[in-house]
Amino acid sequence: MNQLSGNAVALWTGGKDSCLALYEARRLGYQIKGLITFTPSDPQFLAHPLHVMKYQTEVLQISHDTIEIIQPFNEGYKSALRFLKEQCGVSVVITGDIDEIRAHPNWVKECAAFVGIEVVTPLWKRNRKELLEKLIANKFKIIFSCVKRPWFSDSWLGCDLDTKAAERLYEISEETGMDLCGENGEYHTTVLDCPLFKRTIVLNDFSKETKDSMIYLKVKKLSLVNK
Amino acid sequence: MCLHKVLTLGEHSVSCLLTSVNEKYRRISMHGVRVELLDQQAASIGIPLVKMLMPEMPDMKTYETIMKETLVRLKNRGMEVSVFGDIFLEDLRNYRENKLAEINMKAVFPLWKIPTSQLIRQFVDFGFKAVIVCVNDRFLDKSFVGRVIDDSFLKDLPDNVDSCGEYGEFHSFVYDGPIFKKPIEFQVGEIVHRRYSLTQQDSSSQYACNSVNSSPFDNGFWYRDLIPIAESRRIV
Repeated sequence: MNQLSGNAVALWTGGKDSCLALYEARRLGYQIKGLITFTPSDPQFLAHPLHVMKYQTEVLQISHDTIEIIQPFNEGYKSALRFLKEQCGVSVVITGDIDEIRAHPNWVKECAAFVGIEVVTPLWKRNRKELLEKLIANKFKIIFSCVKRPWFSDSWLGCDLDTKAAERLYEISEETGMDLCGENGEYHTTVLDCPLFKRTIVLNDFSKETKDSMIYLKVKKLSLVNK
Repeated sequence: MCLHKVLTLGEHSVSCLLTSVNEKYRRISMHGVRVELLDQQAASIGIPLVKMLMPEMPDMKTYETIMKETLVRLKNRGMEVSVFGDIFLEDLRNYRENKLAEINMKAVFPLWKIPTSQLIRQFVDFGFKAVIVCVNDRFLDKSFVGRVIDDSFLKDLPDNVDSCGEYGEFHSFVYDGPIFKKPIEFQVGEIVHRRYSLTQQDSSSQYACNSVNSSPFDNGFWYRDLIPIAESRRIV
């Protein structure tokens, strides 16, 4: 059987980058056996709530598991990746990372090299504008699920990342130097539909909450509709 | 495989594919594949294709001039990097790096030093399909042209032939794989033999085209023609 492309898992947050990476990796021929979410010991999940991921993985029809990352991160990531390799036979990990975060090393890349797992990063250092255009062109339905001041106000929450929103992001990025894809956590997104989803996710009820400089959607009720 | 690797690693957005084409015969240099198939291949992959039109046996100077003009034009359109599929030939890499440095572009080699037996294995495992279009008769006989790269092909390769044909032992045409929207259809045509008696100068130009370099004289090649299936006929 297909040794190399068959034992891949994709790291999943439910946001636009993990979804685009999954989409690209599929197109590149990787057969993704499952989605993995690395969670902190004290999961707050303000930007990417687990119950939303459940809906996403259901419409993707892929299994989903969480692995807790214990600090220090260096060791935590190593043991998580070692677990995937040795216990689950994983040889390839796909991530939606685009860049180093504030010049910190990319833990997954660093630790995977140490453990001996191949990391596939189809979005790495790619042109941000092109990535946003690709998402829009391929009809990903993406909403802003968590935004940070001072770049954003709460009016962004729940809005679609469409052409109009992308244009406003370009303006904010030009004025403030914000990463266009929110790579430094300036904003987070949730994917409600994309070509890989068998059904569309609908947000029925949510509230807007604030924590420090973060404003986020608290999702209360979701449902699925046929495409 | 090189394009696949670039897309896997991110880092660069691929704006165009660049192929040198023999202007007179309208076929890919050295490989002998018809331009129509090349066009279909690029369309299926979904990345624009730039063709470098070369005269019939270009000398080194002509080759380099055309190459440079093309790359400068691409650079002016915002391209900074040229990606090459070379795997382990050091002098070829140096040559490319030097030429690109002259025009302030960067050469990138994503497959560099990956063991070729491992690479070809990955190629097959990923579901790429390639047909052999040209072999150097010093290494392989004519039964190899027209064959598909699969397990049995790899098993039949003699020990003195590199798994990826890195010394120009064979050339292939990829007609399907994970980055293709649809497979390229063709019919296998006739087998022809061509012999190039090269001058020293010409041998260096062949060299620049990434062909066999160990013996500049008296190279014989078997070619298998691939005939495109016209769009209209395919619909019927």
